[in-house]
Amino acid sequence: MALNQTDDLINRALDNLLSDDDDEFFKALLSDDTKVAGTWDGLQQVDAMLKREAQTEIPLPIDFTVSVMERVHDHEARRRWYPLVVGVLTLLSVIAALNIAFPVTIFALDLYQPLLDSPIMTAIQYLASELIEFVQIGRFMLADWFNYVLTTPEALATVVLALVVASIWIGLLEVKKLTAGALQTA
Amino acid sequence: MNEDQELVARVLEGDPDSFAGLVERYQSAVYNLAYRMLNESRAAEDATQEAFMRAYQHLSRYDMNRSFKTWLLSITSNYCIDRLRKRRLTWLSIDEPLAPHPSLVSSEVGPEQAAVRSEKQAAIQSLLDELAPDYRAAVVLRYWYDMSYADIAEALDTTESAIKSRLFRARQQLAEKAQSKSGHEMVLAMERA
Repeated sequence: MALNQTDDLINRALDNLLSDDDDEFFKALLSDDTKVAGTWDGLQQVDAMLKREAQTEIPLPIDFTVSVMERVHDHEARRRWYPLVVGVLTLLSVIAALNIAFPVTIFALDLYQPLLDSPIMTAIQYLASELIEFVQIGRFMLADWFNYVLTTPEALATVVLALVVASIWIGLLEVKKLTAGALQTA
Repeated sequence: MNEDQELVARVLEGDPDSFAGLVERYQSAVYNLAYRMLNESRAAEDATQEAFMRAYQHLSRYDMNRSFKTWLLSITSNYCIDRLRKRRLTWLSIDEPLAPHPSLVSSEVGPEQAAVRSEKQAAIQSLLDELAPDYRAAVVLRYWYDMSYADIAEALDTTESAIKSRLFRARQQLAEKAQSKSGHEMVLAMERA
């Protein structure tokens, strides 16, 4: 609500914002109107009281800057982690949704048959069967070899002898290394 | 670019420690405004921290053509006005003014003078407490920070005309209360001081 002219004059007079003309007009008004003069006196008292009180400064708590900066650093740490956490959660949600939706969609739309008939699927199937066959052959060969070694005494003796010779050779190499190190230190 | 704006620019470029310079510079002004508004040291401290945090979080919105101090005091006064409105809702039945803050007693004066001074300050603070939050903010910004009508209007997001009106009504209410019995005693105490 806007002020009337008198209230505006009083306000501006208190804040030392009157022009010379306004000042003269205001002085005349104060001498003519006792009600305005009364209001002016009361407001002047309040104005003086507030101006005096405004000189007082209340001391700050100790280490105030430190406590504010601690909060700033906490905020920064949270701000740095926040996008990462949101990103990971979003990604996990998308993966989970796709994981559930993919097979359901494939079967619901009968897409599995054309998918199986596609050339790439044939190639994948062929490669997978070849790989499985290769692994099977390897497994049988390994089993046959173990069977032969364990059931033929000469073969077992040869394998054991080879292992003993290999361990002696490794031992000799280690001794040689240690001797060379000791000589260098000396 | 003044020193405030340089510090703001550094914070925006990714150096949060530069914000400490702004806190050092304006903590007293912000704390005093919060204290005058809330009349409670703990609440004023919380409000000051909150005001600085809000300023930090919204620093990118700060208009470099404006005074940083005015912007910061604007955040503080608006936060305090909100708190006072909430407090009014909560404390609707409590009429007693709060006890004066211990730090109002200056260590530079004798105990008797300090007591009179503390009494006077508490009385003025209790008068301010009776003003509506919007009026109180206008008075504090005008008297304690010597802000122009235009700056107060900007800080409180209103028009100059509204600020003139608030200031006049606030002064009028303070004068009426000061002229009442307790107010009169307070004026006398002030005169003695």
